[in-house]
Amino acid sequence: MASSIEIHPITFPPEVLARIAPDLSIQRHLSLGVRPCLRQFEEFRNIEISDGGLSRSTDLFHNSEENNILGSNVLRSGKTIVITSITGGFVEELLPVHGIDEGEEELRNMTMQHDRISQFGAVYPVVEVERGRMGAPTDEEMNLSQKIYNCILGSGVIPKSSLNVSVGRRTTNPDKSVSITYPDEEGPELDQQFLPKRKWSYVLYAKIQVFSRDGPLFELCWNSLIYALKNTKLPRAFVDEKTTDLKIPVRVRGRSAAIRETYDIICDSHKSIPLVLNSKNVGFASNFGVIDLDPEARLPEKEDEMQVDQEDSILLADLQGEAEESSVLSTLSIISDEKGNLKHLGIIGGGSKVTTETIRRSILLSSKRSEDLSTKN
Amino acid sequence: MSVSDRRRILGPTNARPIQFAPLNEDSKKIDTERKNLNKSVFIENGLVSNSNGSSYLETRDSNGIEYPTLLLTSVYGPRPTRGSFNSKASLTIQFKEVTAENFPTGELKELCNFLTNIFNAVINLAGYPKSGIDIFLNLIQHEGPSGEYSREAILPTCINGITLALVDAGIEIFDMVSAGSYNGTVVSFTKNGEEIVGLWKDTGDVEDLVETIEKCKEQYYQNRSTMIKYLMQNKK
Amino acid sequence: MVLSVTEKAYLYESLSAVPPLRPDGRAAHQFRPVELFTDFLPTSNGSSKIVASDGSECIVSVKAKVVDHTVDNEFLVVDVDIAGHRDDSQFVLSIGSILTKVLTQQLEQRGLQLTRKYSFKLFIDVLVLSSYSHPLSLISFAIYAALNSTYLPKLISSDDDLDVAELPLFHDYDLEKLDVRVPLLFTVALVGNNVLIDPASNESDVANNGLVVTWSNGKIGTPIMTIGLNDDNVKGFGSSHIRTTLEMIEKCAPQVVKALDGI
Repeated sequence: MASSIEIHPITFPPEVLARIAPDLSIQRHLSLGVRPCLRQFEEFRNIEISDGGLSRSTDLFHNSEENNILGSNVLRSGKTIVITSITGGFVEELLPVHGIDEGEEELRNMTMQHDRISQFGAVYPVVEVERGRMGAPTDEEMNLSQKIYNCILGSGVIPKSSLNVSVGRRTTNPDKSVSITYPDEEGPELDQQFLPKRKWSYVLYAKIQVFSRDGPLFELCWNSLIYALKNTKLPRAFVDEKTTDLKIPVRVRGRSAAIRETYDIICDSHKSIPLVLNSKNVGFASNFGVIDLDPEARLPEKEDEMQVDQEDSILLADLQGEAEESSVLSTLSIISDEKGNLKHLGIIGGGSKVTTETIRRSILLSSKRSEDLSTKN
Repeated sequence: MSVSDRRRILGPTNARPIQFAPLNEDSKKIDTERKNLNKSVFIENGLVSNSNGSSYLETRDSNGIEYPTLLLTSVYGPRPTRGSFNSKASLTIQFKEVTAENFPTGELKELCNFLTNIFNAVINLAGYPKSGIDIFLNLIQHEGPSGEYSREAILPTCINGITLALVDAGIEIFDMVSAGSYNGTVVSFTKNGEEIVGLWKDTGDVEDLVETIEKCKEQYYQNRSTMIKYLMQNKK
Repeated sequence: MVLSVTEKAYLYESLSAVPPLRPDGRAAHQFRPVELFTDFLPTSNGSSKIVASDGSECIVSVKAKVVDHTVDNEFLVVDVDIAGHRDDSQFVLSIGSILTKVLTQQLEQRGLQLTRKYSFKLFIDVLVLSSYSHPLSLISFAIYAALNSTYLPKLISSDDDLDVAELPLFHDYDLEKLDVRVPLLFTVALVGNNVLIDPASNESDVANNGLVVTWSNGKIGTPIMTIGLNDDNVKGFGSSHIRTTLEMIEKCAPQVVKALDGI
């Protein structure tokens, strides 16, 4: 016996629909002229930044000897919080024992000129995204770290020269008082003889922690890192006069070799110099997505309404939320400065047609965004 | 440590960490006095949107703004666990230093073990069979009294942070657990100070233990009432 | 052995009775018998092996190395390995951390100092072959026995090397006994209103909470802390429990020390 089955249409509240059918949800929103996050198509999220009072240069710490954070930034964009802290280390440059002669120096400089990357310093980032699980870094975290590393090095934000340590000298005066002198403060009077004949440079590490992940992260992490680098202060470093040029003969496996003692290079707890960035290479990042409108997903329009001609693909700025991230597959990631000088451009085709027009438009928007972000401090 | 970590970008292997010259003695002296001062707290719940509940605590000395402890706690769960059937929820607590790393791993694990034991007594685990509750403590900043890093100084903040995050997550707890510290001893109470759920004494004299516990209890009352006041003001 | 809900309830009731009825018939302040061997590892400076009556077994070896203490001021390294647990698990790491803490706090570095520049650094390796109850107290007994049977090479060169740079020289076969006062750790289980020393595995399973108490230099020392003996029966306790515990330890500990010293 056949009985008739009645089918009731089911309706979902918007947040449930966004979860079970993100593509439908986003299409419905877009056809109404807004995005699921209720922003305009080309509207960015506002960004709040502060240095978070984390670094040792803030007044709170009185330059204590324990805090080793050189620069920091806390960036909030919507619900997402990015905390960046910059720490440092020293690496000693390997120089021949007897110093470099001039010809060799010249040769080195010549080869250096051809190698663009070697003129810039790097930051070694570790990105961690809180997701409520323990264990090894996820693919996303590894990709983010690597991409940030590549972009910092490639865009040349930090000139290598600003990482060179200008080593001071600690002297104990006859009256037992201790004074520290730095070559650039003393001027040419300081006897060059007593300066250490070794070279160190700073190494910068960045730890980037993300809470409340809500959409693509590269741009947020990058911007946070740039802000943090801008307020990074490198501590002045010195060696004790007794050890300025110490050679201790050490017998290694029967052969006697002159090995310099690895004595400590110590940092001044009070004095620091700001990290000099290559300001013309500093850019801020923004991302865009391109999505094709699906005419079938549109809400049925009333008969009397005029059929509006809509473009079939839309450019979205600053992707946010699960729905946008999972259904917008064509993305552009741009780092540029306020004048539109590109530092990085990544385009993923992903289904929708990315036209030259779209690319031009997003570069324009990103330079405007960059202009806005560079005024914050 | 023969195998290098290839999942993270570690930087040059011959790099050495920055070492600071010790400060003058006199700039340190004032600080030891501050140990037992009252703390002022800033609380905000629900900062981490993709967790089930979270709390953010900023603890400062009440007479100044020095030595803030910033702690972000997030709770994930109750969520289903894989594997065998459990009649009670299993609780894990992880501790991470978000910015500078000052504590050795072993000490942090000991701290987590201690905290897990406290909250095993406080959370109604029998109410969540087949589930896991995972708590993540993120220490954003901390500088202990006299500039050194001690676990005693952050323990009360950890306990308060977890309690608030559990409340934010809507997980059933028997009582608002909180803790007080005095001279490096941390005691965690429930039931209006009737019961002790955690006792941590690393250093100092044992003679006056009972007295110390009383001192901790006073701080516990203060901490608890602060938390309750915050929750009542911000109830939905 | 996993106990059923009824078994646990029965055990809990009998343990919280006055006086407590422990399954192995012990009194509240009574330890399980242990067997202890010392100095059986020829390659280490001091060693011990302890076997508890329930089959728990622990081996401790002490080795020494000469280090420049102006460079390396860490004079003690404790490494804990427990069969059946991962090395990086919370349980193993926190036991290691407690032991490191208590030993560095209570041992005196001066006893290990050789010259003004060099001193011995001790490496204490703990291997728990099998453990049924919380192994902390057992490990601490084994460390006590191992350190007290440790012999270190005798120094024959001068002990003042501040002006003359020379490496310390040792006698070929003469050894000197290491003279240190080693702290002991006691675990107690709190069940109902009772305090039970040296809880066995079934007692640990139903305990409301646990306490670790340190005994050093003939009195109770620090750290004192709560410790989880199980995951699902944990409850709070009153300050009277702490008082009872401290009284009990004060009574038992001298006897334990006497027994361990008798070896």
